[in-house]
Amino acid sequence: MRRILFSSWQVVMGLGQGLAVTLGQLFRKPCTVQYPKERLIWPQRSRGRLVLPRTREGRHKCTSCLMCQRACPNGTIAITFKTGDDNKRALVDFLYALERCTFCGLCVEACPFDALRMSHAHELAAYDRNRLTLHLQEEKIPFHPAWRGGLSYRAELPPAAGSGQAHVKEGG
Amino acid sequence: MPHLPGVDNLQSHPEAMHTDVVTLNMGPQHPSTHGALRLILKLDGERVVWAQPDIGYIHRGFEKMAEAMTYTQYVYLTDRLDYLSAIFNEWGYCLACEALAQIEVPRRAEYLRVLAGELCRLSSHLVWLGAMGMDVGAFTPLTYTFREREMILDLFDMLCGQRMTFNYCRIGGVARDLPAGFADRVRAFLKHFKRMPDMYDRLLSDNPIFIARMQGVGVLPAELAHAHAVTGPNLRGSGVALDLRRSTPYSAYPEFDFDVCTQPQGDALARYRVRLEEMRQSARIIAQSLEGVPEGEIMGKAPRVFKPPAGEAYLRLESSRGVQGFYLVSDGGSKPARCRIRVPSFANLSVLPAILPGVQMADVVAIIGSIDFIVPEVDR
Amino acid sequence: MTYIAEPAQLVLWLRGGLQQLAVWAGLPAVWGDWLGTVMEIFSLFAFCAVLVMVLVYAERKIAGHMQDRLGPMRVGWHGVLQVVADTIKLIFKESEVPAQADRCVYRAAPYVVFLAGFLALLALPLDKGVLPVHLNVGVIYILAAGTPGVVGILMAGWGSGNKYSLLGGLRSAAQMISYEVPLVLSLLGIVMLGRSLDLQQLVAAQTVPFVLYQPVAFIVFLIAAVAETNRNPFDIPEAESELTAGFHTEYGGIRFAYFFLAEYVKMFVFSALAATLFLGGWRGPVLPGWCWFFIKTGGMLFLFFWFRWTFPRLRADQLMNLGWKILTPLAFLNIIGTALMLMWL
Repeated sequence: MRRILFSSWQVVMGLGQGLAVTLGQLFRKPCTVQYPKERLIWPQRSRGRLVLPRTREGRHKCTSCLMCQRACPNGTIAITFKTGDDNKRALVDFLYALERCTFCGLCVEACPFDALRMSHAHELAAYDRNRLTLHLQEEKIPFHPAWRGGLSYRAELPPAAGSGQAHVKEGG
Repeated sequence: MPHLPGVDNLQSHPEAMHTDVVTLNMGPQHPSTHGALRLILKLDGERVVWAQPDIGYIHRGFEKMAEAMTYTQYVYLTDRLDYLSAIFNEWGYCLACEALAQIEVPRRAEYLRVLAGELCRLSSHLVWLGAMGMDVGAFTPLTYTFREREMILDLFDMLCGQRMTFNYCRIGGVARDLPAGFADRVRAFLKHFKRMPDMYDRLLSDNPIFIARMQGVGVLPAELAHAHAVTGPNLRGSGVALDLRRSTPYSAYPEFDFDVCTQPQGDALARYRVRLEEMRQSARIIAQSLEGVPEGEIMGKAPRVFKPPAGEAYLRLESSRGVQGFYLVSDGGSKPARCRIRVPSFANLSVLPAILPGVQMADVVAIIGSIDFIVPEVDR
Repeated sequence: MTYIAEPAQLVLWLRGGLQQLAVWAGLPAVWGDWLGTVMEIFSLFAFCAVLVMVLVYAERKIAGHMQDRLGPMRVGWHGVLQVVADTIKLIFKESEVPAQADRCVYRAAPYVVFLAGFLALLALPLDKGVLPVHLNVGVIYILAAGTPGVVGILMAGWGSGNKYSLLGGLRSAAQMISYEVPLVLSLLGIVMLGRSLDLQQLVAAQTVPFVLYQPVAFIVFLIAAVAETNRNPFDIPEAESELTAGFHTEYGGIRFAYFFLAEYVKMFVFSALAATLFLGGWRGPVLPGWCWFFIKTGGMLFLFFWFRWTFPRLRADQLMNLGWKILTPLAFLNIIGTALMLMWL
């Protein structure tokens, strides 16, 4: 008899504890962030889509060395360039196939001239596949302060400055 | 018009009525097969008489893909093996590469790997705990564990720039150093997390219904586990204290103080308890690695174009699901000649035909949940 | 508040009006009666639909907050119109019949299930003297009216031509028949105490809520009611993680809506029955009776929600054990105890 009472007490306690947990939660403020209305600030290092930011003078730094194209595991980047008279390469087209990109950031690490950055743009869905093939040299995206310092492990980032929110419009 | 046996017919022809086993295809689309796994069950009423997993629905040719990529490029891809504990895939792969080229990894990098790895183990176990609750019909633990996991993913976002597919480990070290303010964020998380395992206990582990569902279900004896090369928490739930972090220490693990958790019973509840305890241990390791992280480089002397000498290497580590091993063969080129991946989930899954017969249909789900495999990893 | 105290008169008055209308239109007066009946059915149906909408919203909100999230927030203020949007979606969704299905059975099943819950709703006393149909055997009627639901669920399980559905249907039949026993037995004690089968008289007899005399019966009833409504921790027939959705796996659109409706109506019926028989129904100070009725029913419904979002699910055999080996003997003991109490006191 005592055993039955004890075990039923255990059952009641076991169930009651669980009920107490959920009831307690009922009166606490939920942790939900209602996404399109409310947005979280992305950490500085977050990798969104690739951009070719402009310097203050409005130029990109790409020298068509093709390091990024070689580093990319998926063939996301296809660079077209023309060689001038002085044997210097000039970028003609920086083709970025967004549909293939896995946002691994290897291209940015590979870039020896700090020409590439991964922005915080992440709402990249499009109704048309063609809109996912981007030509980065056509976009005039200013250099964001949060991108200072480069992304390669050789140079460490300065302390997180500001929100780190990239103000990048989706291209295409 | 088919002949329908009536009562009279049954009496005169007893063979007219016979019961038969039902073949039930559980999956590939099913709420609790944890991905695209197909489980062929033969049921006698509610009782399983035969079971066979049918894998390969998300085979992506991981091992072959390695042969078409350079060593450095392949790191990011390993994230997609076991996406819930991605860091262990990268880490294991990098270990193998480092062994091939004999690269020394700086201690700071080892500490950062341990830190990221244990965070990852914790987040993986959190997902498992939620899914486990879901499998036995409790909906609420999932949202609670995902709340905590979300905090870990935010930490990863801060550290590596990505929430699940980190691409954090590099051959010779790690990609990025700790960002400013990261240690405080981790400490805040640990403070928050401290109360959580007890809360899960109150919500789920002490619940008599949950115990009734898990106790004595899917018993996996140690011999059977060994026969199927089961590793990780599943093996430790069968009373074998095999944890590579302790038994064949690698990286910075010898410097950490933690317990290898085992439970002798070998049933679903034992596996559950082991994982819950491992979450507490992971939190301990995280705290220690934060305090003890040494100063120094985070990258060893790895050449920019990685071309290891011809040879082979097999390195393994303790992932959150068991022993994860990478076998690499190099022919001296910039791409692996062969890459073979030993995934824990594959071996863990292979015990299902052995332990499922005889259990109830509802137990199948509980057993699958307690074994905790990741189908993309199984199929590779 | 005469309209609440005398709704029977209101109905009579309406019926009279309809008869007059029929006579005026040159039709037999009985046609007016029929029209009145049809109108009553429709108004009850509308009550059902609104009730279920409110319940679904309440459940989703409560579940959300219990799970540290918000629940519906997008459609309307705090998502109040979400249920309406969902209903519209369900109504306009194409309802197709799977190729494997036994078409006739498949189509009929949701209505049978719904009808069971709907019929039980008829005899609930909302207030003193207020109930759609007054029966002097209300307890038996409600319990009996809910039973054909099993048939509907079996029909759905069989008719879908799906193994998961079949398993769900069979589980459900076994479960609901098993739990009918303790459910009925637990109410016998109440009937003995109140010396009536009439719900009105039973409420009137509760100067002290019967739950104080019959705590064991209350617990047995509560557990059995949760099992009868197929809700967690006894949602074995639906068992999402095992059977995808059990007997209604193959249903969509409006047919699925009927299953949904039936589940919530049934939950309401059992909550209302518990409130009526154990908690004193419409009896209570200050507030009007129907308020007390809904407050008590709401409390019981909250228990249903609370259980669902806290507990894991039992296994089929454990469920049977609980029903036959624990609840049924407990209910019998309770009856014996009540009888002895009534004899000696």
